[in-house]
Amino acid sequence: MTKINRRDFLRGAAMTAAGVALAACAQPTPQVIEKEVPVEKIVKETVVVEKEVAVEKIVKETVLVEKQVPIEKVVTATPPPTTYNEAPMLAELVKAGKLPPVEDRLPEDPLVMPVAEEIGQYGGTWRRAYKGISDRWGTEKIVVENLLMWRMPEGGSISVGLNAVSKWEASPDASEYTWYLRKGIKWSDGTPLLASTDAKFWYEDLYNTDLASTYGVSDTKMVINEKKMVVDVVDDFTIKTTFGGPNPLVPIFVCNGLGHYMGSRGPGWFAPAHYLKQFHPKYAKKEDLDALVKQFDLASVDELLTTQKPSTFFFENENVPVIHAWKGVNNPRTSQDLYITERNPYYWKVDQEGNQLPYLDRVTYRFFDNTETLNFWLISGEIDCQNRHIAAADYTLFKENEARGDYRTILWVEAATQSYFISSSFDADPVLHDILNDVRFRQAFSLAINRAEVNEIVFQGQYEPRQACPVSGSPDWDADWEQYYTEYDPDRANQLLDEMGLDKKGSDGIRLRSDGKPLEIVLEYATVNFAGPADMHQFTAEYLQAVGVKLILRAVERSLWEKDQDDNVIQIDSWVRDRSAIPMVDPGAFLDGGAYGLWGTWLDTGGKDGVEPPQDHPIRYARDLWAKVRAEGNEAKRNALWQELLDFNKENLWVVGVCGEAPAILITKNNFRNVPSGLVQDDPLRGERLGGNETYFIKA
Amino acid sequence: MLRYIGRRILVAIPTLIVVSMVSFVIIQLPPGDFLTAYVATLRATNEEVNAEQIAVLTEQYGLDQPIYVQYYKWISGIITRGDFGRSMEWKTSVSSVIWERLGLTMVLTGATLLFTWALAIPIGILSAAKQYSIFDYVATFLGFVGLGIPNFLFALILMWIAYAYFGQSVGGLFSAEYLEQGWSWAKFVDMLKHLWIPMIVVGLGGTASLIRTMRANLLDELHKPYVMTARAKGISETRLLLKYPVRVALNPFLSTVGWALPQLVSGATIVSVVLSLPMAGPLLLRALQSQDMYLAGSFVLLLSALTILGTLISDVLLAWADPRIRFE
Repeated sequence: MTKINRRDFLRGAAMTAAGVALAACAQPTPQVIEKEVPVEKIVKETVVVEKEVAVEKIVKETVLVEKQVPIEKVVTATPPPTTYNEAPMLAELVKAGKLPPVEDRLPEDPLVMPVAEEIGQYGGTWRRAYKGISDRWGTEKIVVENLLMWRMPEGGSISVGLNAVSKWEASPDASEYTWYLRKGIKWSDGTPLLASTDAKFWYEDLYNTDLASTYGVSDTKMVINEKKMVVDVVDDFTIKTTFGGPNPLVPIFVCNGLGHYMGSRGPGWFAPAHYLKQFHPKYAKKEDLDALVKQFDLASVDELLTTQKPSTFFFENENVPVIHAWKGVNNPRTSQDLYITERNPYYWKVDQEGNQLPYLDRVTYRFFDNTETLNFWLISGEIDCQNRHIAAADYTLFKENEARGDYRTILWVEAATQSYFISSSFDADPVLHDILNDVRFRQAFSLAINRAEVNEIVFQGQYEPRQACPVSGSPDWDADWEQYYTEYDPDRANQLLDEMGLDKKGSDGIRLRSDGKPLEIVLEYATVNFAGPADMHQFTAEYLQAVGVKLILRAVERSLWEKDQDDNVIQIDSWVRDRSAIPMVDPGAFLDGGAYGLWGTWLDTGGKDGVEPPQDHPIRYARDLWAKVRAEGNEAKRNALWQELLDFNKENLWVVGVCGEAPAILITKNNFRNVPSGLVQDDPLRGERLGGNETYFIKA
Repeated sequence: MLRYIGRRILVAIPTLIVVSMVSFVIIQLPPGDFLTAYVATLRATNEEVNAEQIAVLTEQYGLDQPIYVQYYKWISGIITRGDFGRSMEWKTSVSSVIWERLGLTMVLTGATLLFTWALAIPIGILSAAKQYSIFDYVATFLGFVGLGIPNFLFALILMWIAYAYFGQSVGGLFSAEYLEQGWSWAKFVDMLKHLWIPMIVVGLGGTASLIRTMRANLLDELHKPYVMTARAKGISETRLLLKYPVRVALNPFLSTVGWALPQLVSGATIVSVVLSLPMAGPLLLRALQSQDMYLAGSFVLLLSALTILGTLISDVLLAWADPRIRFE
């Protein structure tokens, strides 16, 4: 499949995430679901308001946005399986009386997972590599489970799917949600997962306490109008979450792990009470707690219940109950060289034929420090399936060795764009401040870059020249934005700069500013991968030189770069604009209005911390819009506001994209099956987890 | 002699105190602290960290206190309880993190060190004794190549050779299939298969410089009158060489033995990173990067202590080997 075909396909399949989320409420028990995708033309009604925001004047037009909204409806095709099978290693345990039969281990309505290729075979070890204890996401993104999860079938679109809940409902103003757990779902030690114990414990003993921040459960997405969320236990399998006002984005936040008690990683708002009570002063004796503090080598009793501590974190303590497909056998703290996980006998998903998942017995993670070592393992076929830590730049190496390593190279799309961030807040030099704040400068900057050449030379033609905007496959993908000022047109760039009054040049061909100084701008970037390759910056500097702008490259250590950000002394910066699949989950840079410094902190903390931004700075406008998006219960209005925020960013071009949508490479052994291709790799979609790895298997 | 040693030990104590202060300050010099780095990584993985949580963590780690208070807490823990503080990144006590890695590190670097000496000293002697012979040219050539090739590059090349021509699993200390098993003969053999790359890489650089030093020192000695006198008295050439000039030529070598001790702990850092060896060097590197100050500080303190101890040992060795130094 060529890139263009996929692109066309995904373009057709784009839809609004929240739309699906709401559509999903209407859905009763999970059966085999098919999607009907009618095309719906939505005319965006945009209020025509004139806004004076900073330097730019924003004039809204009525835009016609075409979006397809998939409506999930239940089609009674194949009936859900009624008899269940299990892995041989578990059948043996059942026979020996060490484990209850599979029917008793599964919930009443196990989630039926579709498979990408075929019904799998049981057994085998999935060999992966990781970077040790600091690389917890390398494991977590393989096993994470939420109440709802993102789904993306091969060739399909991204949608919100049911996971640990079989049903959920929202009140009309989206301030109240009811969640229906799958009945009979169990923790990996066999203890039933119940609202009456686990949600109650999470709410009463962790969240609704003074120590919520210490424990790490105080996510501000759950605080609306300064009121903390309230959890009501309706019955053993039902909870109601009530927010201090409309909170319409909850479903997509839940997909992204909202409410997780992060150490244990139950589904959001549930924590394994039967295990954690031993750490809680309310239930445990002081001398026992002190002994546990010593045992886990912690500093205080409070830390026993804190997220990601050796006591509570499944990655560091294999005894913590989980609901994952695989649970730890050892942990990276004591066995860094090889972290081993094995199947959870109480896993609550099956395939269409009633085989309990996962198919694979074990997942093992082998330690490496340096990417070259990983590459050697990959090309000699010692890794079964992996995307994490693999660079697109090594594509040729992997292709060359396919036969020798007996693997295939599956491609997903990286939802990211290498970008330049042009500061609107830099104010140490007023003349330069005005230049950076003139949208014509940013347009000229964008036009001066020869993206095709950068792609060919720096990225081996693997990327795609584009603006820093949502990627194909995203409901927010915008063809016009993707090409917005991306053509290589130095003449127009020169013209724009001339128009700005920068038409005088020094003897070296560098334009002179209004105060007669040469137009020199510092491009400061951190020396980490995310900041893009140094070659790219070299090219950019040459392109800018050609239109009379001198870029001074300054590579600094990351901590210094962060300090410079806080101090608002950055002029232009380079970073990868990622999270571009479902930007609504984590809009990040879309909310900054090009600003650096502690202004964002000031707005986020309501003035308690940080530095107050000027009254007319665009960062205020962007944050206001986002606050409105987050509080708007009506979907159509919300989408219009969101679109306004996106357009605000597009037109102002604070972030100038260069190349993006790199291939995300999954090196996969030829006998390792059910791995889909063409999906989107993005952090909020939980990376490789989107592939539905509980259905991966090794074909004999 | 005993007085000499005692005096040296007394001098070592204030040195250690100053070193501990300086290293603690230097670790804190870069902007930000462990939390800024930590929060940045959390943000990069899309985890929310709100101001309240940061405040809680700051208090937990004591990062809100002035630097001298932090230093006092740390150093008094070491002196009174032997407690090196807590590693923020590993969320556990520093000593447990360090000791875990130390054994393997010392095995590898120790073996390499012995290998280096065993190889370099005879070659150095020979190429000085047979100056401008074929052997000397070959040794010189290899020596310069060994000095010239950066360690990490050489490690990569050897990895490629092992992979492409011997079909061997590279990286780490064991092949995947032995990682889960306990010690066995096969596992030991497997370890040796992996050990040769780091040994050669680390060893080659060291061997090369040692050969050059040994050769130069010995050449200086060989033409001194006492050698000629000995030769005139009819002593056999080999005996003469080993008994007098070699012994003197070893002096600069002995005086650098002190540096070998800290090398045992933190040596071969780059090579360990490239080869993904679970050694102490990469741990120190990582601790410095993430500003995990108690771990990094304890490491630096440990290295300094070893350097001071090593210097002491080399002083004693020198005094023993060269009578001229004893009564200085």
